[in-house]
Amino acid sequence: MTATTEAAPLESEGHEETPGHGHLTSTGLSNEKLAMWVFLGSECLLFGGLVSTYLLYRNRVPASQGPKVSDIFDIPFTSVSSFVLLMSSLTMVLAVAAIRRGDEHRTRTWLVTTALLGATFIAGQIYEFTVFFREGLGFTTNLGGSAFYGLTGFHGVHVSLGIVMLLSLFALSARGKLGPERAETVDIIGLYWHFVDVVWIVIFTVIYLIPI
Amino acid sequence: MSTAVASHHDSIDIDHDSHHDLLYVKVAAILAIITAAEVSLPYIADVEGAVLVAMLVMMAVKFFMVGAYFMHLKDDANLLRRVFIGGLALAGVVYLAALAAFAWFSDSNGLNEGTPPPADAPPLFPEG
Repeated sequence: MTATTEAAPLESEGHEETPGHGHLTSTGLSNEKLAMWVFLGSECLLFGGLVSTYLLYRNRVPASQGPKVSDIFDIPFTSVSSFVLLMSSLTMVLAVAAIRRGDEHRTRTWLVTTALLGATFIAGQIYEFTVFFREGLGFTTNLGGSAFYGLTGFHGVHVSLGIVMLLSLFALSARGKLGPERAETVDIIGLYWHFVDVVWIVIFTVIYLIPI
Repeated sequence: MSTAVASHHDSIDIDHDSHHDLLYVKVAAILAIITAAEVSLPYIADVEGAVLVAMLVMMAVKFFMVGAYFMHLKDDANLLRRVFIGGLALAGVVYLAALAAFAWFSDSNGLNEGTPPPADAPPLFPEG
């Protein structure tokens, strides 16, 4: 007679099964989620560098080298843009909540709404850039302009990549490949999206509002 | 009996989910109000230093509200919180040090208008 023994589940020494994944991690957390948070922590360094570069260069603009960025801001327009991006964070978190309770239809609705709001924000940024260019501030006009376009351009690229990811999630969901068991995927993309919004919160205050 | 128990649990779950969604809407409404206050403050208040501090505080409040409620940092594992705040703190320290190294705080090129380069400064990007 042979006795069969089952291996006792590994417990708190940091070795736990993560729900929905079925494999062990040393932290007890999802590796993918931890990786996204580490990435976002590193993105703080990227955007910190861009913001501080702008702060250093924004006033180093001789009169002969075009306008200063702060002289040509359209604060009401940018405020509306900021509001749009803020609301996209709401729709993103509602999408995550919907996928967690298995409501795939609502998930798709909120995902596409988030993508549309993000696209509206990007359209606003492009319009703003064209206005600034017409006012005489191009990418190479002066140091302040280069730093401004570098910072907001990088942020815009991040938003655009976020839109691509959201539309990919929508496509997966439409094909029936994004069920509640993959809620964490939506959650992780949501973390990226919220971070992009949080960066804009800092940019809008420090770059746009404080100088006025 | 088991059907009644199951449907009771279902209705608890629906209430719980609605409660979460409502919380997110409330947080978004608060963020919108803070944004409106931030935008209008420079136009209605005169005291420069106080306005600056108020705007930075409002920015920080919005930052942490999005992090805590939308990114679920409030309820998530400590390690995730430490990883993000660690990166944020490192960025803050490094770039405040960089700004200080370039005399951004002591020089009037910081928060004030500052002294721009002379008008006859060479062009940033030479022709040709």
